[in-house]
Amino acid sequence: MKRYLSVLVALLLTATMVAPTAMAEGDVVITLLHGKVEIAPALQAYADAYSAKTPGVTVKIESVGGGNESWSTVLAAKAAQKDVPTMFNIDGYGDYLYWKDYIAPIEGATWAEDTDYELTVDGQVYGFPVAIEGYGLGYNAELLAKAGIDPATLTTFSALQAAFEKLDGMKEELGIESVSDFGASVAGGMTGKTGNQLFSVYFGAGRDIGDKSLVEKFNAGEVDKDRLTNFANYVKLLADHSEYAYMTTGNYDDELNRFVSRKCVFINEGNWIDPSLKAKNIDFEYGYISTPIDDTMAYTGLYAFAPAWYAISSTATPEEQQAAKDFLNSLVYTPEGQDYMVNQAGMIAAFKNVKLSPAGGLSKYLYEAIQASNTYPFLFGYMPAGTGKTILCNVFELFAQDTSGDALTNFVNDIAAVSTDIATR
Amino acid sequence: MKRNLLWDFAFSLPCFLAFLLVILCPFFLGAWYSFTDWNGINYTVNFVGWANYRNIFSSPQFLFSLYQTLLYALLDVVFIHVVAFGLALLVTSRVRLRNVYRAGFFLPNLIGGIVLGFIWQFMYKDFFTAIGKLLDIPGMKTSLISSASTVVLGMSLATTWQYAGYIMLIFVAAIQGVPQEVLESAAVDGAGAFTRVRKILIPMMRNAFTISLFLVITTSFKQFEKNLTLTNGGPATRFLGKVVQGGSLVPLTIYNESVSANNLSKGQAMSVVFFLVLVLFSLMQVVVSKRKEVEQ
Repeated sequence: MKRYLSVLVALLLTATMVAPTAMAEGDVVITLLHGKVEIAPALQAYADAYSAKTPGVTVKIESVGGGNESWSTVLAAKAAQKDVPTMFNIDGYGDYLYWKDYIAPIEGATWAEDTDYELTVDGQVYGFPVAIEGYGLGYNAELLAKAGIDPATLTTFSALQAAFEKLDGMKEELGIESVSDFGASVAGGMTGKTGNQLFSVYFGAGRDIGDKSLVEKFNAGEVDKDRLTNFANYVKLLADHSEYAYMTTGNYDDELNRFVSRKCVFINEGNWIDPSLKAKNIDFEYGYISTPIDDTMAYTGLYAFAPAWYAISSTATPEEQQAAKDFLNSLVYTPEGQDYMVNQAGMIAAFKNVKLSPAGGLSKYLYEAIQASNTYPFLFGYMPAGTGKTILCNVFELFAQDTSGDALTNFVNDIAAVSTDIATR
Repeated sequence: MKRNLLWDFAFSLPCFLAFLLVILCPFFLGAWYSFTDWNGINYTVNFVGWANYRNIFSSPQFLFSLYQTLLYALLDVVFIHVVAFGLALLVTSRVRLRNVYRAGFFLPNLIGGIVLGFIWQFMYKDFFTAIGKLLDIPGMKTSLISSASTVVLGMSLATTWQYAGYIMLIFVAAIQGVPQEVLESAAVDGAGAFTRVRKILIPMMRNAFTISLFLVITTSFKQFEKNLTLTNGGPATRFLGKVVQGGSLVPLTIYNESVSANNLSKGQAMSVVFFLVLVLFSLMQVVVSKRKEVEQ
């Protein structure tokens, strides 16, 4: 008897290793997995309030990591366990392609009428824009005024080049180390800054907000060599006026510190740096200009994009999917939802019906540009996953290491080669 | 009590299942996926034959990573053994405070790889360059890890700093296992310190070298987290006409391919090739070292 009992115990022990966990019963429980930890407390509070107010529905929030790698890793693990959250965030069209087996179309999404930033594929809405972020060439207004340069005049490449040279000649007077602040170090983690963000200037400068033609061509192996050469000259201008050690080894923190401590005049960043600059006690006025890559037009627009979309899982039951749609609707069309997005989470809402404006910093410039429809598309998310952060970033770093001689031609050819590789992969 | 097949089976089942699920299944599944186009999550998996293998052997990034990894392993083996052996001799000598040294040298090994990578990135980026500029030392004004030709050296020095203390402990145990009479009689016969180390100590602790070589080689080949935080794959360089990551060892390249670029099957093919390289090196090393061991 005892013998068989032991065998039974051994088998039971084994069974616990493979037994599935039981599911909770009751309410329709929907889960939202997202990777934007800085808004996690505000989102959690909103979800709790929403759950309390809505009978029969409980919204659970799962916040993952800081970088965008981590949420996708968690999601992949959940997909392997067949436990995909009802809603999850994706960072771009490349992510959509990767996850599309798990993404359901969002039918009857009225909010899609109120935004330019939803994710649409073949006429179907697949993603809810979490927020709008923006990008441009940030400047220290105080130093520009001291040098007698009006940022409003820096709308062409020649004007920018002249301003850079003037500032370069006034280094001692202004107390700066370098004019620009171009960080290209892969070790410093600047891969997304160059391969994704800066490279989006090539796709978007001067283009209409809905114009995706350049990125689509890039993915198909085709580049506009003339435009790319102009872009390369723009990058060269930034690189040649940056401090070499910072440019080749610095990290994000160094970048912000250099800007805040007035070691440089310009910074290649977006409005997401606002909270960090505030935390570093920035004590001067700063603003945004566009990225003038050539002299063919006056570049005044800022780049605007949805850094992430919420997608609804195709593995969720119809009830869960409906509850998720209702939750997304509530964000856009209830005062509480709008208050959460703008005031609590500090985001720029992607919806025209939301009239609350963000407070201060670069976000204010961006909000004004969006209201005036003076925006360019920011399209790195439409490249295949990993292109910017594991491939293009190296091309930028190599160019930053040495911009002399054939480097500019090589840079253009290297980018063209990446485009060809992507198309034939 | 009589041996009973049922009993044997029942009690080995938990261990066997764990091994099966965690080691064997993933290994063979992974090998299978390297012949498919699976991206890691999609439902449809198509068999593509040797396409992934052809692809990686024409990939400048993979070949350069393999080259850098071999170089890195070689540097690690040399640096770690020289330093660890030197430290082991020091802490087994009659020097004062030798136990304090022993603990001190071992301490870096307690720092996790991720933290260590960040620390050393700061050391190379800001600390050494500041000293280099202050004292006007030509080679020290730029960061070791900012050039593709020196980045492996930078990684290897950081690893030596961390790992030499651990290998030192193995050597210390081996040195203490060498019979004192042999060393003393050699000393009486007029053998100097250097001769005693070379002719007696080293041959008599060959089995320690077998272990240490195995450990250093496998850790070097499998280096991932320190690589990620120290260099993140950078700096960029040109290889076979293409721009590649100069500071990306094979595991990081596999990770970038499988996870960042979502080409899981291609990453798997790299893993399989890398596994074979590792097996080859481990076998070669163990066979060669075993042959040289001295029975005591």
